[in-house]
Amino acid sequence: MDKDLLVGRLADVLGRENVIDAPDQLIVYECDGLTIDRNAPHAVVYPTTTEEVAAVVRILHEAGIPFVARGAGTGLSGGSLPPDGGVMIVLTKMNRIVEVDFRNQRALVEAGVVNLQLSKEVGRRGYHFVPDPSSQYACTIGGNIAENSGGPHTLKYGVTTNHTLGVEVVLPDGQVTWFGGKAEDAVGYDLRGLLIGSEGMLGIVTRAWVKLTRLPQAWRTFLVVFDTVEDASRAVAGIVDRGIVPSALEMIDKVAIGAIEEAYHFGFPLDAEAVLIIELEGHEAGLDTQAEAVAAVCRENRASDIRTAEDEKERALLWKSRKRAFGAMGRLSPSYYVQDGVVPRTKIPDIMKVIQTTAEKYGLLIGNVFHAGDGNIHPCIAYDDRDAEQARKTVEASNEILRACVELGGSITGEHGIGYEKVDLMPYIFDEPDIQAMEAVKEVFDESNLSNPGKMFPTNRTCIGCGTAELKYTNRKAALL
Amino acid sequence: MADEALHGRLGSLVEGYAPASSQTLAVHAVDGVVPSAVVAPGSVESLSAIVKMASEQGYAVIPRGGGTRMDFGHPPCRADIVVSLERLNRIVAHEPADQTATAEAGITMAALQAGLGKRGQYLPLDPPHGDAGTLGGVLATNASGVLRTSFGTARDLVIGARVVQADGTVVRSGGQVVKNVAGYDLNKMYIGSLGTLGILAEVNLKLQPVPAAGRLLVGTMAGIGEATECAFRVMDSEIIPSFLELAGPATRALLAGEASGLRAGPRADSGSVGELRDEQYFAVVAGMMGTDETVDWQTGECERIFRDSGAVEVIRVGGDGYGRMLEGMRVFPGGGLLPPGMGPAVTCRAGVTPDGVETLFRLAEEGCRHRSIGCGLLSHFASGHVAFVFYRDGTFRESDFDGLANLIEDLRNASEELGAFVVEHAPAALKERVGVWGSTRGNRHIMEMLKHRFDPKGTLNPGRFVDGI
Repeated sequence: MDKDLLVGRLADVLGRENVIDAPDQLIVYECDGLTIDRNAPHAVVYPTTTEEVAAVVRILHEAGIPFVARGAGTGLSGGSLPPDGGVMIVLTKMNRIVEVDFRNQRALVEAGVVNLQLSKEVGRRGYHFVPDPSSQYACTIGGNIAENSGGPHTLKYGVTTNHTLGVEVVLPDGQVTWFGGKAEDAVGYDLRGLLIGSEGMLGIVTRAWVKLTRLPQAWRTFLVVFDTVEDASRAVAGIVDRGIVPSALEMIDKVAIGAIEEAYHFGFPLDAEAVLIIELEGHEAGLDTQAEAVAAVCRENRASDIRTAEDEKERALLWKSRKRAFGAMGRLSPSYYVQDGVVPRTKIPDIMKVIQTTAEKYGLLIGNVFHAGDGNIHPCIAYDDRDAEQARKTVEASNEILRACVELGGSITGEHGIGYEKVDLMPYIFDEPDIQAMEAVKEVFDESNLSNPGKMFPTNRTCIGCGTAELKYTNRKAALL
Repeated sequence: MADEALHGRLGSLVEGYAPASSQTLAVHAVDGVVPSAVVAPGSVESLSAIVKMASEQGYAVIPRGGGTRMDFGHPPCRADIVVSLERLNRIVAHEPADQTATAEAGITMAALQAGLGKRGQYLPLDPPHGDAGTLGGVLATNASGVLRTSFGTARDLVIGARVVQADGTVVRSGGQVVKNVAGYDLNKMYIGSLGTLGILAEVNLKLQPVPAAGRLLVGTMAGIGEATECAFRVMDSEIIPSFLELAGPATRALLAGEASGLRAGPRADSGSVGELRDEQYFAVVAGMMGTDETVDWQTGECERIFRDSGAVEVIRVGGDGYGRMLEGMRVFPGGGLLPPGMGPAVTCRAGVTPDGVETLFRLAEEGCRHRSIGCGLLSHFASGHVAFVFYRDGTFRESDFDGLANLIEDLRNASEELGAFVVEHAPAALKERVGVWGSTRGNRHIMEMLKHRFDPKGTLNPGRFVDGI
């Protein structure tokens, strides 16, 4: 379809003001939080209702034009990178909290509602929406659902899929349906569970029923200082091994401490090799006993200092420092590349060693701020994106770390998603038949391959299954070189 | 002749295979549909080879775990080979410090929990299956119990799986770590699919430490309105109950009997439980787990809420009584706890919102009263799950079916306004009349397409699932 004709038809549905097609305006939409991959969309639309999304998708489906949904664009794996010649459907104007049902502890929200906005809205009545990705001040619940987002506090309470009851979906052919709903235990295959985390490839979520959880009665937040990363890592494993389930268990290493301290002046010890942020939640009764047990494990692992957040204000600043850590890393270099891998939590000491060795091997500066309690690492590689050689090393180092995660029994992504970034790393953990099963699902939902094509599945299939062959570089890598 | 060919093929695949006796085949019939062969592979590879052969030759395969829930779903339209997973019964790995384990699907839940318990952990899933019930069977039926209030259902606990697909291909989904978003979450799709998309062979699980202490509180309430209101107040309080149950009058009496040990002999540690025998009383049951201190605080707070909500009687149950009552609540929804001389039961479940539970309780109570049907009701309240257990003295007869069918129809209509209603355990004739699954709400086409893509020849459990899948 001719671009003018397409824009005209989209404008008929949405109004001209909700369709963007001027090249200079499209630049903003050419990438998400993964900034090294860029591709400008053909046009960008801002629907305000499910019906409008459906109408847009029907037009695109009929014309065979690919599309991608986007929330706030905070994703870190290029999940909303526009497909070639594709239309981007931005859902931030669908930002109403439609219904809050405190009695049943659930809320109906539109996909564009900002994560933190919901928690703030229900916080007044003592509730919150549990998933709390670091981008929660900006990211949307629709995006959380697409990527099955986590966050520091999902250690105890689970990730987005564990808190989403049902989703209203515009299917890739423009039909509208619900998977799950306000109640649990829908009949038939768990299409809800299948859709959550499918990265916008099976349809576009427009509304969702999510669970609301009672805020804890009490909490204890600790900053524990260690002289070595290894001691801190062992303390993490020790806490989990004792059967203690903190609500959050985060590690920050020396490189990241320096960057964060410079940015937020929390008072982190600059000479520490690693700190743990440990949060316990629950009832006032018994919390100190648990805190004592945690402190004991930390002391056993040679913690040099255990500090307690004195009040809500200090706790808030500590979490703000943690959640904006990646931004602070930006002070160290022109660019930074955040990785997302998982190891069994007992293997944290091993993977930290690998990261250190890899940093030395490539001569790169790598900071670590991550969800240690569930083994979800986030090495953050500082580099200069204007230097092609450094960029190449950055990607190679990051892939080496992910391969080590897999060898230790882990995964190549814990919460950021495969997106575009890791399509060619899928064979690290899945064999060809495993991937074909996923593709079969994709074909059922999206026979024409229009909904966010080019994501998740490896592009270069020739070497899959041959075992020893090295993977081909992705387009991204080619672009970097 | 056809059967001999089948036996020959199985014999070439499974060492020591022998055709089953007609008696054994009858035992393995599913709702009266008798298979031609029963085979128990000893490895995932062997399972894969059997399914591959079946797919190529056009045989229908009925996967079987402990055989405790073989009447779940519609009768199969074909049943050639019953594939028993009883020999795939190992805990493959248990990493206590990671709180994860890998187990084969044919392990019984009891053996699994016993094995994990040796290292102080357990899988927080307590489905109503009988002792022989297997992990694979529980996952295929997506069964859950009271613990879903705090730990969710199987879909929240399974982190990875090895599945034998309809053509025999073995695929993996998920992984071995507790946090992982690589690829589509196919675990969710397989769980609750009644083996119609693939056979779960091996499963990776997320575990919990066995809590230091556990106690429950039974509040006896004069009516369903008070009981519901009380449960809502607990939900909205600072208590974090491990479970929160609403029990109908008959269920209350049965559970009180369990707790006080009337069946297992008199008990001293749990106090005097359930002196009230009046048929009109309901119960709210709240469970507290954790350290002694938090359990103590919550018990006190919960008792206060119960009394403020007008409880006629509040009883604390700990020690052995706690364990027996948990077990009673576990087996009850499957018809495993009935008044003496009653049953076998017809059981159903509904999934609604918590504020929909009261309506269903009233409807069931009233419907049963004027049809003289025994009415057991238990709701995992916060999740909106309601278990219906209908019984009479002895087996239901054809002459009871009119009444049961009308009752089920009323309950289904009321449930489906908010959620779902499923007939779980009933005579085949009744299931045929009322249908098992109810509405898939406009998603029939997608489900049929999924079945078609994953099992184009209809090899696995044909006809037993929703919409004739």
